[in-house]
Amino acid sequence: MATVFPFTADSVDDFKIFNLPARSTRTVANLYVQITGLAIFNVDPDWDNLMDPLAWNRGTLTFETPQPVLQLGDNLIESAVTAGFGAINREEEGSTDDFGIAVDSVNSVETASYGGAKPFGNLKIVLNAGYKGDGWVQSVSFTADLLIYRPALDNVQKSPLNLVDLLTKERYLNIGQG
Amino acid sequence: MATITCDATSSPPNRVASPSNISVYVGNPPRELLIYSGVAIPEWESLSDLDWADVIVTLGPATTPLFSYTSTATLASITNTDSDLVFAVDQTTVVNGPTGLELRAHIGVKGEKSLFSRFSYHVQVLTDKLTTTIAGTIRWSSTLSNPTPEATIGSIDTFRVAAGSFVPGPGSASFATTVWEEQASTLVSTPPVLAGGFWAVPYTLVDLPLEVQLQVVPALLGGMLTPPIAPTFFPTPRLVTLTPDDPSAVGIDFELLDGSGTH
Repeated sequence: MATVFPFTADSVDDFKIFNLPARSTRTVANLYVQITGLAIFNVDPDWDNLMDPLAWNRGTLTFETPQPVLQLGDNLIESAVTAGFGAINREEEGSTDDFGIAVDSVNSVETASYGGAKPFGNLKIVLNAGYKGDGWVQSVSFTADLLIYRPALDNVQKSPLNLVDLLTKERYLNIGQG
Repeated sequence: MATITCDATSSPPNRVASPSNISVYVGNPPRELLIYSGVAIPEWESLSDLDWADVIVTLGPATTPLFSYTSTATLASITNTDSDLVFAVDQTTVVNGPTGLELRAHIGVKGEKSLFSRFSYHVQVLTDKLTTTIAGTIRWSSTLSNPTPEATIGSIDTFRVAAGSFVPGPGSASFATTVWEEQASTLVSTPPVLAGGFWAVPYTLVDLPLEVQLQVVPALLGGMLTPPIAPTFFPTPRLVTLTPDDPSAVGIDFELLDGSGTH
């Protein structure tokens, strides 16, 4: 199966986001974020010229959040992404009898490039997808649950060392060593 | 009715693509919110009739007996050869089943022929109240010191965290002579994460007594940092009292400082 396309979304519509401080049970992540939306692909694959019209043609669908999800200093630690058909299209006229449309898997979730007028913190999500015949995905409905480590949310208020700190240190120094 | 089994927990996953799961503590007293996602691959085929199947996806280990959940499953990969067609996910349920925590999806396909190859799923499970737990983070400034290569890959224990209390010593009725009575401890070997100028690792203590004021005390182990520092933790100790209504405490965090005064 040839890899014949990378498609990038023209927009992400109906984007929604919320976040709340929540501790991961496994990592240092201390912020939970959920995002949802529809990634819109205004593209009609040139299936009969650039692709093998009788075979599955594989590639990627990429979309980016329309607003920052991360702040400077954040580290995206864990994610769970679901993506499925928002809208699909198939044209019969002049097409093969067979068609197939697939969002095969989630390829990656990472911080998008930034700089200039573009702020830090957008997320880029890449899906593995496939088409067979003259059918394609017009939009991808997605939900992403994200766990982020944000040091500002640590429950530590730093203070300079003082005498009390040093005295306490002496008392507890050997306890943790077991 | 056909049953198709998929396993997101095996290595490699069986009939599941890009499985992921995360879990967080939520609420007070804390419960565990487990979130699972992935693409199940039933490869269910119809030659003409509308054919139904039950798909069982093993998500993870069984969770607490009393749990709540929400779940969705959406079409992700279909194929049809020039015929009337139906592709359907009619119902999803989540149960503690024979293989662990299971997503069960009722799917149907019709065509001559049609192949229902994949569906995407998203499952949220809210567990019952957790058993006694204390959890938090230990962080330190990257300007202070960096993890050694062994610590970076998680091949050595880096911190020890203990919970306990000072009790009267043998033969002593007062606290004038006290000894440390440890209730629980854990060794941390999780690779540190760098964010915002801080290195950080998580820790979790379990099986702790209720109705006892516990002092939580971390300690830095040798071979963890380069260059070595004279460790002190702020704040130390953290005082925690767990109760039947509040059996867990999260966010019991510490910051590692250099007590030598050289930083």
